[in-house]
Amino acid sequence: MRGKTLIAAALTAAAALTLTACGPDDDGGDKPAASVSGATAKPIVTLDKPIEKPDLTLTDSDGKPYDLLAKTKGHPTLIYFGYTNCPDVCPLTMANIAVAVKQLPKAEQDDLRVLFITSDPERDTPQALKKWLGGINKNFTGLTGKFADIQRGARDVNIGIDKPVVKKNGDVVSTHGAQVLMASPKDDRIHWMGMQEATADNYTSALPKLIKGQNP
Amino acid sequence: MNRRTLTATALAAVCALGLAGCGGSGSSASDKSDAAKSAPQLKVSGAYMPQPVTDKMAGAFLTVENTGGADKLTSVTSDLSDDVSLHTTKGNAMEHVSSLPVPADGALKLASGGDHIMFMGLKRKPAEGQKVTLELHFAKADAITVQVPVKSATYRPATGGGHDAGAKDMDHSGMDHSGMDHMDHSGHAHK
Repeated sequence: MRGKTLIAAALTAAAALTLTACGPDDDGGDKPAASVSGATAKPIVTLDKPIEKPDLTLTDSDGKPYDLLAKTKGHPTLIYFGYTNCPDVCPLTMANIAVAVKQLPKAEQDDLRVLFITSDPERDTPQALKKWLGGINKNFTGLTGKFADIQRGARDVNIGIDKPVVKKNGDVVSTHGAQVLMASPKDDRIHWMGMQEATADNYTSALPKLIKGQNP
Repeated sequence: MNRRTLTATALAAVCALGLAGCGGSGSSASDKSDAAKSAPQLKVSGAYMPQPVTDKMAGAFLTVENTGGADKLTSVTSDLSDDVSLHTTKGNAMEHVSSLPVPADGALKLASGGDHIMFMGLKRKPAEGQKVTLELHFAKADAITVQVPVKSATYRPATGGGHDAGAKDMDHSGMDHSGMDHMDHSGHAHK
């Protein structure tokens, strides 16, 4: 059951990616993707079968334990796996979400949980997360912990992250997740995924519905 | 049949390259390697830097168009940082590379989600509306100086930065300016 959902989600993601890759250069010559035309490159995808939130207890940016399931229960929740030493996709993704969140009424902002779970816990200490998220939205929650735990939690929700590798020249190669996971406050399950190409506008139009548990 | 078509296409492509390579140089059109031998003709466009989150790091994107022979972007220097590097993205990981190819009669495109220029340990935190000076160094062509505009953190070139207005409202109130001076740079990646 879980397996099928994951495969379906992965396929949707792959299809979206493929379509994006084709972009405007697609000459229509050979389009095997045409058979999944229903799955056009939607920036916010509704999952056919929702996924459980990851059962993780990590450390928040104040250094306190954070039981993800307990702390987010009954709250609309956005989860992204990334790292702060990331110049491109991670800050862009979080900034896009921040723009959308800022436009929600205050009560809804307070109800929403936005979690940034580091994929590079060795460098992303609670302090580093706090500083970085402070530049985006200080109400977002940064979470760190043991990489093995974080990777297992990510895997449970179909997000692949690799342990940061230190190369011979000292470079650290880290990975971030490809999608933002979005859980409904109604059943505490992940119903939607924000793809990497989702813009601030996409999140701005989708969030008011998602936080009520409605499809965008 | 198919193979013939392919061969014909390939030939056409080679011819096109050959012709483009000749471009007014007056040399023989039969010299197929002309494009590879000729000097690169570079032009930079579409440069921007998303406003960085902290003064720890920033990224920048641009396109180097080339109407001449192949070249390589070998390094970037800037007034913003002494630690500027070139990165390529593989899957969801990024890796430091020593150079990026600028193909003959083509373009090197640095874009969000792909290749980018990375700046570590910024001397200041650039804000939207400001400019950052970059000097691009190539294997063959002369260096090019670019004034890179700093855009909103959510800027997307494809949409002309549709969300600039919203981004101005971004929450900067929580920024820990006090911590900037004694930041721990020891944990830097890509050093």
